[in-house]
Parts: sequence; structure tokens; C-alpha cells
Amino acid sequence: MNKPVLGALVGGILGIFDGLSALVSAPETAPQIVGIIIGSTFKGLIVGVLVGWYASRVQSLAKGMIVGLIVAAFFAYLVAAMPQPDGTHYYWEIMLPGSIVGLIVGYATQKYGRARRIA
Amino acid sequence: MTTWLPNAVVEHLRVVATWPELPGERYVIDRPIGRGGMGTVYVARDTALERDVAVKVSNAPAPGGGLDDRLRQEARVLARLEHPGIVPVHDAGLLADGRLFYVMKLVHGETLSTHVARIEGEAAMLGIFERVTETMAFAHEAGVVHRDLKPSNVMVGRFGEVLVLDWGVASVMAKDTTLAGTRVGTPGFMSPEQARGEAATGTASDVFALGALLFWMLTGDAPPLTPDEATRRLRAAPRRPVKRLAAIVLKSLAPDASQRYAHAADLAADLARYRAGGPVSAHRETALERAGHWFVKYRTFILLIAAYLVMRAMFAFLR
Amino acid sequence: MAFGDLSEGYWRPSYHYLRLHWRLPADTAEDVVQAFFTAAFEKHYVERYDPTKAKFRTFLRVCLDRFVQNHQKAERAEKRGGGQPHLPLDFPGAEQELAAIAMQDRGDLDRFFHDETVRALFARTVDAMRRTFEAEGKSVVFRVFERHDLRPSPDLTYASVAREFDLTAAQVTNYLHAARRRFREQALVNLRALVGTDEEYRDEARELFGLEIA
Repeated sequence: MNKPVLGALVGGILGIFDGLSALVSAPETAPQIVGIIIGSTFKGLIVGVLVGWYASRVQSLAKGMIVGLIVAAFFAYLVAAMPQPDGTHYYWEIMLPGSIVGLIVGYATQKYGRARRIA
Repeated sequence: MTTWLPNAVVEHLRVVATWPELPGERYVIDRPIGRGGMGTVYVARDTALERDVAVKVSNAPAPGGGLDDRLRQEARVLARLEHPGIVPVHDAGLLADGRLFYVMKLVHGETLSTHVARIEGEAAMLGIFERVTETMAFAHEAGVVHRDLKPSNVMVGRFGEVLVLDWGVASVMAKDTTLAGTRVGTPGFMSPEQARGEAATGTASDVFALGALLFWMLTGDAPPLTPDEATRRLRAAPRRPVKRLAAIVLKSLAPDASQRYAHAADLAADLARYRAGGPVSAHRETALERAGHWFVKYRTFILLIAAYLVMRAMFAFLR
Repeated sequence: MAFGDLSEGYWRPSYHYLRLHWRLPADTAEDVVQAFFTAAFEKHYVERYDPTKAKFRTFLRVCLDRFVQNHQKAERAEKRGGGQPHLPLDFPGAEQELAAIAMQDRGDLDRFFHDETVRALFARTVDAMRRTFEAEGKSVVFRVFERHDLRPSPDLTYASVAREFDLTAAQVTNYLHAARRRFREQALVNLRALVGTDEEYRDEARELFGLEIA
């Protein structure tokens, strides 16, 4: 499995769980949980592909994890920037766990998956 | 009137009586650098390629004896085994007086016997041992059994290269120049079946010698005769190995050849697993040990997931 | 071991040993050597040799020590007369050699006796080589060997020896190969005649030339 696909897989799975965790951390979002899970999964997929693509070009665990952190934090920010129906924003609740998901994806894509083939 | 010979002439005669005169003008012998039971090694100048080489000359008093056969066998074994851990042979032939010689790469370094004192840390020690094991795995794959592995037969080069030397008693599959029932090897490093003079010594005999070598690197002594005593000495060793490494040593030193690793490659694989922090075939782990290794292996992943869960729990708690 | 080999191989080291270690006067040392080898032959000393206890040359040296002690006691008791059979030994030559022998380590008697035995062995070998090369009509081979290996000097080269003998350097190389090989083979033959057992022969050959005898 190449690294972008691996990143998408890990990012997607973690995205599902990240979305589901909203039921625990913010139970009042239960009515919107399907939308949250879809959005979180989509975010995870995009982060996974980008971080996996980076990992296929740069072989460095530290750099891969930092890129994962930044990319995931950026997409989490975009999600957090969208206000809730009551107008509140969950910046910390979305960005901090989302960034850790980015770290995990960065770690996984550096450690595992097939690197780009040298022609 | 009898000839009177001063001391200097007596010494000169001792040297020139066996001084090798190589055919042709390509190699010019400079000085002897070592002597074993089978041959004497000289430094020589290869005038064609303008480099120094090592020339091993048979210690036989006259051409055509068993010693020449062993030297020829060694040269052929070395030529057959092209590996970074084995000295390459460049040339072979007969001296003007009919004795056998072969020319090989000159390696600058020291034997493991002396080098071991300067090895710092288990990782460096196992790094050297792993190279020896890989070389032996290659030889076994090519059907060659060394039969006399010991610290003085391992050379550590100036630039960290590790070479296995002295293949004079090596056995090549069915073509074996040593006599059945003849004891070959060195006490302390030879397997029990070699010590008994059994004809059928195979790759497991080299595995025993590898185990003895590792035991020696850890404890400073050749292994004792019984596994219990070996276990006790390993526990008391200055470089006391952990259970998994001790198990690798003890499995290699099993008195019964069938209880050892069958080939050096199996030993090398177990050693690589040990160095990677994984479980080894020589040691059956408890559930706790397995969990510990699993945690060590995936610790970053586990810590990241734990951080994520803590974060989520913290936010749930704060609400 | 043949008596001829015993006396030929060991009389000279014995004489030097008596002169330097026992500090016997030249004429007394001559008498003792003559008497010792005669007694060794008549009383079959060689048969008493036990190879499990010592090397042959050590055994012989100890026999010589005892013989000297007994000889001195006997001399004190009564002046010995003549009439003993005499071996044709070159004592004046051996006496001349004394000055050149550096007995630096007088404490190691066995070493001294060994070194002198080797010297005598090589000298016998060289003499035998000279005779055989001359008999074969190859005296030039011996003379080249003599020039290069018996009178070695740092500035001596194959080329300089070749010029001296009006030969090519290749001829000098070949002659030296032949002579050195002959020397090695002859020295080993002589060595075997001087030691008690095959094992001792193997040990001595290894120590002397680094050769492994099968």
C-alpha cells in the first residue's frame, strides 16, 4: 500500500472515531452527529492523503509528524471556524484532538507504507 | 675444517631457508606478519597494481603433502565465497621450490582476541557478532562449514570491517580434505561432536562456535562444558545479558546439535529480532513480557492515541 | 640414533658449554668431551633417554653435567691416565670459535646448549652442501649461496652477486632457490638424526624453520 492511500485509510478511520467522540465530549451535538461524522471523515481523508503524499517524498519521522500536525490543525480550524446553530465555536475541542490525529497520521505514514518508486 | 657460523648468519639462514620466492616478478615479498599451523602470511608488494597484498605460504617442508592440500582447499573455499566478511583471494600458485601459496587482500586491523577489550557497549559488540554470523550464514548457504571459529580467527579492520579468517579446515559439502574421525577445531570453541572426532560435523557445529564466541565476548571466557554452568557464568558476567540474549547464547551452545539453531542464518535472524526489541525463538516469553515488548515496539503510537483519549476525556470532564 | 650423528652433532656444543659454563681449561674440556662421547657409546646413554621427561638435547646436557661432576671427583681421587680411544674432533677450531660466542644469557643453560646445537647443525649442513654441490659439479651454486647467505651484508643484492660471479640476476635467483631448498632439506635430515622422537623432531622443525612436519 502506498503512503497516500495508507494516510487516507488511517485518516479516514480516525476521522470516523473523532466524529463519534463528539457524542462524549459534546452530547448536545447528537442531532447533527451524522453530519459531524461525514465531515470529520472527509477531513481525515484529505489530511491523510496530503500527509501521505508528503511522506512519500520526505523520509523523516519528525518532519512527517510536524507536517501532519500543521495540516490537521489547519483543517480542524476550518471546521471549528464554522459556528454551531447557537453561534458558538468549539475551537479547542476540535483543533486539539484533530491535531493529534494529524500527528498519528504523520507517524503512521512515515513508518509504514510503500515509498515512492525511484525511476 | 668445519664452517664457523656467527649468530647473524645462523639467524639469516633460519629466515632464508623458508623464505618464499614467488614465480615471476609481480609479487615482491616484504616481511612475515603471522604464522599459523598451516601457513605463514607475508606482506608483499603487487608491482603490477602497485598495492600491498598478503601472501600465505604453506608451512610444509616439501611440496605435495597434506598441508598443501589444506592450503589449496582454503584458497578454493575463499575464492568460492565472495562476501564482504571473507578475505578475497587474488591469485594462487607454486613457489620456486614447489610449495603452495595464494595471494589475498591485505587487511589492516586486529583480531577479535585483542579488539574485544576496546568494544564499548552491547550494541557495538552485537554489531560485530552479527557481521560474523551473517558471514557464516552466507558460507552455510554456499555449503561451507568453517569448523574452527574462534576469536583469533575474526579480524576487525581499521574501518570497522569484520572478516572471518582461516578456512583451512573448512568442509565443503562432500568434498572434505580432513580425515573422518580427525579432531579439527580449537578446545573451548569446538562443538561436542567435533571434540568427539565425529565425521559428521555440519552447520550446527559452526553455530556452537558462534555461541561460544558470543559467550566469550560477554564473559571473557570460553564456555564451560555444561549448560547449567554456562547459565551461571552468564548471570555473573560483567556484560550480563538479558534473558532473551542469554537464551540465544545457550541455544547455540546446546550439547545436542539438534537442539541448536540449524544454520547460522537462523541464529542471525533471532539475533536481529533481539536487536529490534522483539521476541526471540530461543526464549518463550510470559504474557507480561510479550505485552512489554509490544508496548516498546509501538510506544509512540500508543502514546499518541493515549494523548488523544486524554484530551477527549478532559474536554468531556470540563463540560 | 647413530653414534656418528650423536658425536658429530653434539661434540662442538658440548665443548663450548664446558669451556663457558663449566669454565674448564681447554685441555680438560677436550678430555671430558672425548671421554663423554666414548662413555656415551660404550654405556649406551641413548637407550636411557625417556622422551616423556625432556627433549633429547636437555637429556644430553644433564648427562654431560653429571659426567663432568663424576669426572672431577675421579680426578681428585686419582689422576686419570691416558689410553682412551680418541675421536677425530677439531678442538683447535672449536677453541677459536669461543671468542665469537656471545653467551649473554648464562642463566638459561638449555637455551645456550640449544643455540650451539643449531649452530653446529647448520655448520654440518653447510659442509655437507659444499661437498655434494662440488661432487655434482655445481660448486658455483654453493659459492653464490656462500656469498649471499653465509656472508650477508645490507648492501648485497642479487645484481651485485651476479656481477661478482659473472652471472645474470636470474641465475643468481635460481641458484639461491636451489641452494636454500637443499639447505632446508639437508638441515631437516640432520635434525632428525639428532633428536629422540618424531614428536621432538616436529617441535624442533617448527621452532627452527616454522615448518610443520606431517
